[in-house]
Amino acid sequence: MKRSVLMHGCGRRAWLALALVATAAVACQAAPDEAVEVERLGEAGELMFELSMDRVVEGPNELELWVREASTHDLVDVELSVDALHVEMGHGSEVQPEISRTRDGGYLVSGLSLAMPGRWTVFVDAQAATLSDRLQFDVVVR
Amino acid sequence: MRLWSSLVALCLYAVAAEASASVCCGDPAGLGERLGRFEIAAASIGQDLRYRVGSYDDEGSFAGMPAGDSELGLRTRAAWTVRVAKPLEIGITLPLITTFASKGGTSDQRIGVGDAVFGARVTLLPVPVYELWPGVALTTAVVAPLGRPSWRSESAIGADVSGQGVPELRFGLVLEEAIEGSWFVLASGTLGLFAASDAGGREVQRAPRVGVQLVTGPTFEGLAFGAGVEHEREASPSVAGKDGSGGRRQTNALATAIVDVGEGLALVPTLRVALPIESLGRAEKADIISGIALRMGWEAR
Repeated sequence: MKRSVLMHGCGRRAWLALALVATAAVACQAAPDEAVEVERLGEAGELMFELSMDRVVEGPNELELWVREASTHDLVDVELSVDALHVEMGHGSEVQPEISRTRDGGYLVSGLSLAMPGRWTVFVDAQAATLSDRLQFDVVVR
Repeated sequence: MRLWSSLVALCLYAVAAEASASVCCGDPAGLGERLGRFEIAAASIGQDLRYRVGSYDDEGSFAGMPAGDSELGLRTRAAWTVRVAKPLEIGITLPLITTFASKGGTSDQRIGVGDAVFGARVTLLPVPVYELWPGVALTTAVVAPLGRPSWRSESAIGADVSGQGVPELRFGLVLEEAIEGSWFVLASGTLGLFAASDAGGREVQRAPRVGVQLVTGPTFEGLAFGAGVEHEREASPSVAGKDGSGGRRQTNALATAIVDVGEGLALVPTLRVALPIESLGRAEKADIISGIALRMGWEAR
């Protein structure tokens, strides 16, 4: 009987420890979302990309984008496609983002799905009348 | 002896239950349910409740869920195991997964079949034949990817993800030791090998996933406890022939109990908690998963 009581005590302590860990986990605060600003020449060196994301969240994301001709810095009209790849898992999403024009000559990409925590590589492909280029950059979902 | 056999079987079952946290990416143990020493078959049905508390980023930092976001999962699982020869048992586990999620202002609820696991276990050395030697068993399992993988998700917040999307072959080694019939220690190691997949037009080859589990606890008449820890890790996949850097890892605290409620019938509550400690996790979700299972075992007449 004495041993039995001792064992019950061990069991209770184990559960208590787990409960404390669980409480600590719930109490932790999320890191603030980080804004993303990128201004960079594309991989082919033909187009200059300028984009901003106010915050990076797990789920649908929004970014604003302007595309300029590298040599003249003039805004250009392009066919855009935007995709993302989870670096640690090697996959993206079938959910396609919506792309619309903004009044200042840029583009608004909404519904870019980053559905898991971790590092994502975002690919922006732009096709102009005579030029095409790609920008890729990393964001971290926490 | 009968209680001991059932205890170890059920603790292992609890440890081996799939981690809903990584439902898209494979469960850690892959050992499946096992039979007690004198059992010839067993069936169980269980319900897990998963509450997401945060995630680990790509540098191993833990962060809680952002304000306003939530993710809750239900996992109903049914398992059958049959002894086909004295040292050999085979089994199958089928899950049904429901997710309620709200992230970044978007809410979604989905339900779907998860990945089926076909498992086999060969007992090389039963417990406790020799006092000083642990019981030894080898396990293997095949994961049939019946669930929906991340890259086929139609939910912007991944609420419909219920599987890993690729077949997997798993191998495991299990060591079990009884200490004076009143305490047990169970240690296991697993290795998961994945088939290549075409994820959105890119060929993806996941790296092998390795895991270790250690569970120990006391036994009483009709009641027992087990507590322990598990760790699993996987290097980054090769995407379109390019090897990635980094990888994912996860560490959970485990607790389980077994309560005999009738002849061959037992209740098995479980608790699995992701440890919110820097560097113990990386690029993974962090969850608290509580579950309850009802298990029926049959012994030879």
